[in-house]
Amino acid sequence: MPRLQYYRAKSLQEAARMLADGGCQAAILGGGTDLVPRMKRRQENFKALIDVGAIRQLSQIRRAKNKLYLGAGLKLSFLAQSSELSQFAAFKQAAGLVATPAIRNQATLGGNLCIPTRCVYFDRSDQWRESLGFCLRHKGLACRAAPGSAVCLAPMSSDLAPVLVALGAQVQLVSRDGERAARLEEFYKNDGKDHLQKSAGEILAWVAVESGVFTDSVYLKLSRRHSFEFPSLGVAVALSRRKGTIDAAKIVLGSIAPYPVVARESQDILIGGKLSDELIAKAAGAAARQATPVANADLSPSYRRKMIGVLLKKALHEIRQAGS
Amino acid sequence: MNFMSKKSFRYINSSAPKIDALAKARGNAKYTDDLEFDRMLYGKLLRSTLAHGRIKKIDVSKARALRGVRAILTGTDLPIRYGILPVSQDELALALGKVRYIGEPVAAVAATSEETAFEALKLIRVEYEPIDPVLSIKDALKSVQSVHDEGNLHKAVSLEFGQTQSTGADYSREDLFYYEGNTHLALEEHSAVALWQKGRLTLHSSSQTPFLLRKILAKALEIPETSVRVKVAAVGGGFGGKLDPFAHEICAAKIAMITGRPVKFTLTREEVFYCHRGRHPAVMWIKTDWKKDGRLLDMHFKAALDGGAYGSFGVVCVYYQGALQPVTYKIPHYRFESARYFTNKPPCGPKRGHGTPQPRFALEVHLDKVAEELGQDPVALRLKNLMTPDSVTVNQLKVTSCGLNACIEKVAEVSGFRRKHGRLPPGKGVGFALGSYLCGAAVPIYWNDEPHTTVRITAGRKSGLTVYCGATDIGQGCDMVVASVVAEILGISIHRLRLVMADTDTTPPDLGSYSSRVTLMAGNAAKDAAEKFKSQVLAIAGKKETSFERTLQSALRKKNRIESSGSYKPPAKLGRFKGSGVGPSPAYSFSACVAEVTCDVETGEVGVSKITFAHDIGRAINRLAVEGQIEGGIAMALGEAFFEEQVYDERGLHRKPSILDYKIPTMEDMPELEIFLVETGDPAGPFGAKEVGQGPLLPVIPAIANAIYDAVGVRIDETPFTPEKILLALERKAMARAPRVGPDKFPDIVFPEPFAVRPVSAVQASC
Repeated sequence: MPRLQYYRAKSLQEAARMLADGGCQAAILGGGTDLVPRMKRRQENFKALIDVGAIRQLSQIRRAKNKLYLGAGLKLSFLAQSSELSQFAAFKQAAGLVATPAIRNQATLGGNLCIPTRCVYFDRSDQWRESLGFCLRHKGLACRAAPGSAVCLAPMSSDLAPVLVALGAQVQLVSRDGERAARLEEFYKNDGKDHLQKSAGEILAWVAVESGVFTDSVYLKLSRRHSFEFPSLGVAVALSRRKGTIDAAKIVLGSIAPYPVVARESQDILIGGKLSDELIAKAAGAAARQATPVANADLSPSYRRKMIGVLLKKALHEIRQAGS
Repeated sequence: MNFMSKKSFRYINSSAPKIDALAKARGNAKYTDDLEFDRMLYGKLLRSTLAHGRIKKIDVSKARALRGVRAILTGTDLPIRYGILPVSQDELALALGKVRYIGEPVAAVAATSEETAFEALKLIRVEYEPIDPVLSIKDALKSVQSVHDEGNLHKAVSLEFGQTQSTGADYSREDLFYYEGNTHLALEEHSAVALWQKGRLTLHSSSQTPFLLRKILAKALEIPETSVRVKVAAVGGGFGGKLDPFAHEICAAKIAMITGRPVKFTLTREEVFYCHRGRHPAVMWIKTDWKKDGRLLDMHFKAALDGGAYGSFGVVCVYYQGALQPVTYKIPHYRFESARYFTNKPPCGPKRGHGTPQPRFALEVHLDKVAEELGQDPVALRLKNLMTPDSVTVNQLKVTSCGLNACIEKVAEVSGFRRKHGRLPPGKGVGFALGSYLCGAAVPIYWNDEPHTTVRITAGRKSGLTVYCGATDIGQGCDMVVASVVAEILGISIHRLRLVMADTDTTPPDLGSYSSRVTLMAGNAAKDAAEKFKSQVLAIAGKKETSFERTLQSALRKKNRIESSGSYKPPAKLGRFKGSGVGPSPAYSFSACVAEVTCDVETGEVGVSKITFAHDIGRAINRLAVEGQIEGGIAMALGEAFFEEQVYDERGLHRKPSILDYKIPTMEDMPELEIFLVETGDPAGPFGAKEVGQGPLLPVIPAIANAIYDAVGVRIDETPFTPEKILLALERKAMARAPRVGPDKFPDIVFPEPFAVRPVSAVQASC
């Protein structure tokens, strides 16, 4: 592990100030479950870490009107079990599917939403990448997975992002100069190298979700194992049904692009209809057209693509079954 | 059947926790990387970034100038070739002239901090002249390039046993299989610390073979064997991956000799993937002839192994491809051909099951296909051709106890196999398979007439009771085995014993923790030593007191120091042909497995819901440890069946040298296990004990493959059984093509003329 300086911020304002002073040499330390191994692999070169673990308000849930404000420092194991979140079933599911129990006890909500994209050609040692030839994310000129691509296509690796985008979440960002809110859907962009719409001085402080918008939500994760996995694909569905008729639908695909991909065509198919076998098949069929995964993650791109429809179908069947 | 009544045991056959369990659970156990010494240097290896190339120039000047760097080695500093097998002395600690795989060590650095050593590596410049890499058996057969000067064929064998049956066959079948290469993934990465004091070397290393390592260090460093001491701290798993001597061990020693300072090398996880010595990728062909009533007449087996860049245990592995098929089934006429090729990839070697999981997979799936075509139950077909106790196999191995029958009946009954097979709802299936393994190689790696292991027991008035044993506990529990055996014989508590293990200076020699030899061999030596010790104590004391403890105290009042030594040497092998050294063992373990699976035909995912397993252990020295080994073997088998691939890209670069991306099952992926121990009491084993470290892995993989077929009607004739392969096979089935994924061709290998082995005489066989 390279040498570094460690600061423990007492307040959000202090953390924001430290971050601003540190420039791009400093990073926020939440649970550290992803950041620290990355630093050990020398994928990140931060000289200073600002621990926000002591800032009380970041590990609290606040309720204001019909919104829940979740502190970015909340641990994933807490989220997976919290009774306050029972109306956001998919969110709880997703939190419980991240990595391992030990990691979930340490990893945070904010950390999972800001987790860097992952790529089988990038998340390797220097010696490995030198053997291959460096990629455009670092030192190199071409993307190893898609040589024609001008941008890094590394897929996002968050389980929570697709779910929270589906649930219409907002994020609250704090910097030395102030505070701003953004829709989570707009917090991500299509560049694996830099996939967050966030400046270096901003700290993701809260996530806000609105109650009563959706009646059903499901998250399904594709991975080889049942634990200790980043998603190879995540399918998040949130529906609002009145007497069986869908009046709002949000379908979001994770881990097939640097950002959470909204499956608009499938959403449009569902809205106004009922969850019949035909409608489910149609929506599922349309979803696979929404994304073109490339060979940069576990499981082949064609399989991952095929599974988009399969998982969406399973998710919708699950909702139908739970509702009946 | 029981060799000794179970009721008479006090310490063995219990389920007492292993003696090191608490220390390991609490994090108190000291592993090699935990060792710290004053003025210790930290070593790192620079590894080749090219699969095949000539080294034109190595410039270490900048690295040498870096503050804190104390030593840099390159190939010229360690020019002596070595290797684990006497016939394969083809390795160098650091590449000289040529690199042969990505990850091969090229230079070593030692510095005052790990960070400095890491920085220094980046300052070394190596110029290579690339050579076309040889990356597959196909390449090895065709390429004009040679991995080694002697060509790409490492070893080819062709043996024939038994008599062709006069009555003709009613049915015959041939099949092709592929077994993917995979690695051990022991949780503890390799680590070594070297000290050079007063002209003697001490190497602490996470090794399975301290005594062999001593021999090889002496050779590579050009110092007498008596000047080398190898000590093994707690080891976090080996599985065969810590048997070979490694570059970091030799470099640590050399740098300690040069600088006079302690030197530690701990490998990264990625480096462990490059050290490898794991399972050989194997293409296999099998053909059998049958009578229509299900009697096996003839078996012909061929294997082609992709060996990687160096010999390692490869020659042995070539023979193991064919050695153990005849141990489970009676085969009247058996022919077997096997070859290993050099390729520009990390060397393959021994991994749990050493060269037998591949043919076991092929054989047991093949038998499932045969049973179906002959219209027979897969269990019944096997029972008709089953090995029996006190037999000599067609390839001249002597089988003593054999609990296969009991194992089969147990798993078939408990799992409801006969009721379920072919009758479960779509998507659900059961599969059945058998396995067998040796309990220690009867022939040592370096031929000599010495005992394979010796155990010494000493007692003194103030020094307590100490057991010295060279066997190496790599987590398999051999410390507990030795202690339990001694405690049983002496009739004293295990906790009264002080153990000194795996230290070439203080413990008597033991060949190492490989070939599942330790329980039987060190167990027998411990028993011998304890019995001698007991009779000495009795003789000195003159009369028996109320307990052995009291008798010992009274003896020690008469004599200051009491000492005994016991040893073990396996019986001579029967075979007298070239290659007959691979396969013979004092005894064989047997296992039977039923796997129950559920397949999702939309995702291709397979879930194993239950494994029912019976293992003929002979006698469980410790039931908890035996069950733990079986559970571990099943877990590793699930990894090989579903996930594990040691695979490389078109440059020869390992595709996923990380513990996250190279998947093994987690606890969440484990099915329900029901495990039965069959205790046959083998005459060769201590208290009748046989092995459990390796055998239980073997039948699990084919049982799963057979269960997948029972569930969805497709044959996955190659590991791992990925969802993608299952969907592909299902697609083929839907299109009325052969519902199978697997190889379609055996490589164009011209094997030598078969050597027809003359049958052993009746006199030899009975001795």
